[in-house]
Amino acid sequence: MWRPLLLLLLLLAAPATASGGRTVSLEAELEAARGRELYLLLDARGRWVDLKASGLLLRRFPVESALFGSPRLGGGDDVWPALSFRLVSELPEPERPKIPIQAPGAPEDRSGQPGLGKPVTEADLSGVPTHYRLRFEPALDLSILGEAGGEDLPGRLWRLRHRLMEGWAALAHRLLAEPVPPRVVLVMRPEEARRLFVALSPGARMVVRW
Amino acid sequence: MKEAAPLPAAPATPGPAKGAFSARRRLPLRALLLVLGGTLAVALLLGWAGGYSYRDLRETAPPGPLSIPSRKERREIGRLERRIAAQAPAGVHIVVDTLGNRLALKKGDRVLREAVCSTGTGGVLEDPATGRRWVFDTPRGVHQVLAKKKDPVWNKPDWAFVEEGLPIPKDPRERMDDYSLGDYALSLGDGYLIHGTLYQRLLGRSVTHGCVRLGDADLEAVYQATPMGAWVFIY
Repeated sequence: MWRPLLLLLLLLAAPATASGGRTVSLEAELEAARGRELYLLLDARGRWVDLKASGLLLRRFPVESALFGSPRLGGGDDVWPALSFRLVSELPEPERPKIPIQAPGAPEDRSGQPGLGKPVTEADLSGVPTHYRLRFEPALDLSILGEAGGEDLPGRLWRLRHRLMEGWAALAHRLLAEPVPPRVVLVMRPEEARRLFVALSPGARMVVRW
Repeated sequence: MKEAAPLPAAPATPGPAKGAFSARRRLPLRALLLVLGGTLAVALLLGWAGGYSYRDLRETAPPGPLSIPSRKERREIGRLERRIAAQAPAGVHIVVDTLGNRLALKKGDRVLREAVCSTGTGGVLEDPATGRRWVFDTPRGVHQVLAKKKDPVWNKPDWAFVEEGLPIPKDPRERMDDYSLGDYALSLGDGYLIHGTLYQRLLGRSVTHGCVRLGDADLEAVYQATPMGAWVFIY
């Protein structure tokens, strides 16, 4: 008599997770972990982005809030297009200091070259963007907003500008009969956003951990 | 002489009333504002309508149907998780954080030693004579210890001479340097090494040509503990 009731309770207690999604996501991560490259693992609940290699966690980037955007026109749904992606955005070349050529016969400088070799601090990353957008294949846009303590003014302006621009761009895509990719927006602390940007490599793989 | 009589004042000609004149000027301005406002409103409306509707990431679903995992699926999930964990090196390996200039010697999850190191400047050197260009980045990614050397001798590459403003020697013996690399070196391939330094004061700073420099004690510990073929993760 108790057995069916117990079964029913177990069924109700079991989380209605996407078991298929979890398996697909783990298979994608296993493939990434087998490769000799760094990869990103995005938590589907939007709590963190991990930088990993061979299944080893190298650095965790905490996420403060995460949104999933689907195109308003065309009845976009809240389903991920895939769980494994490749970065296709071109990353801007960082500013590189020019190494001075020493005068022949000059005594060897063992204190380091001027302008180089300073300890890396947050200030040194000031040239690294806190707000940026990454394009992945299969088509997915990932916007990173590095904002301290929620929405700050630059973040709001960035958001307003990009919301309008993304709307127009999406319309243009529609007019050209091109697909409009879904978009993920992650808000994280500015220093984490900068460090994540620095950790990116061209063609990097990103797996969504379900 | 008779004084000329003053000219009679000219009768006032009926001109446009001031208000009517302003209204006539205001009309095209109003029309312009209306057109501009309308265009802006349409643009905003199109931007909004064509844009995205956002929801919390937790409300999303993966591709494929949602279902309660069966026992078989749970077993499969557990098996995959174990296989991912098994990809991580169980033995001694090295993790280098190029931004923080820190090196960790690890065995499995356990940190055996943490050290301050120096990594690449990210700078660029150009040879004015030939136009050749070198970028001094520490290569991020997954590497292996391909060779270990005690008392290593550095076969100085061309850039070392260019940087010093010296002619590139034709005799290979002139490239040999037996003091710059310290007591030990671990090769990661493509000329990249983990080695010692004459510039101990600069540890913790990004000053190298791409190699990872360590202090003497840390270098010895890393050299002794790291076997050939050990994994080196640089990020």
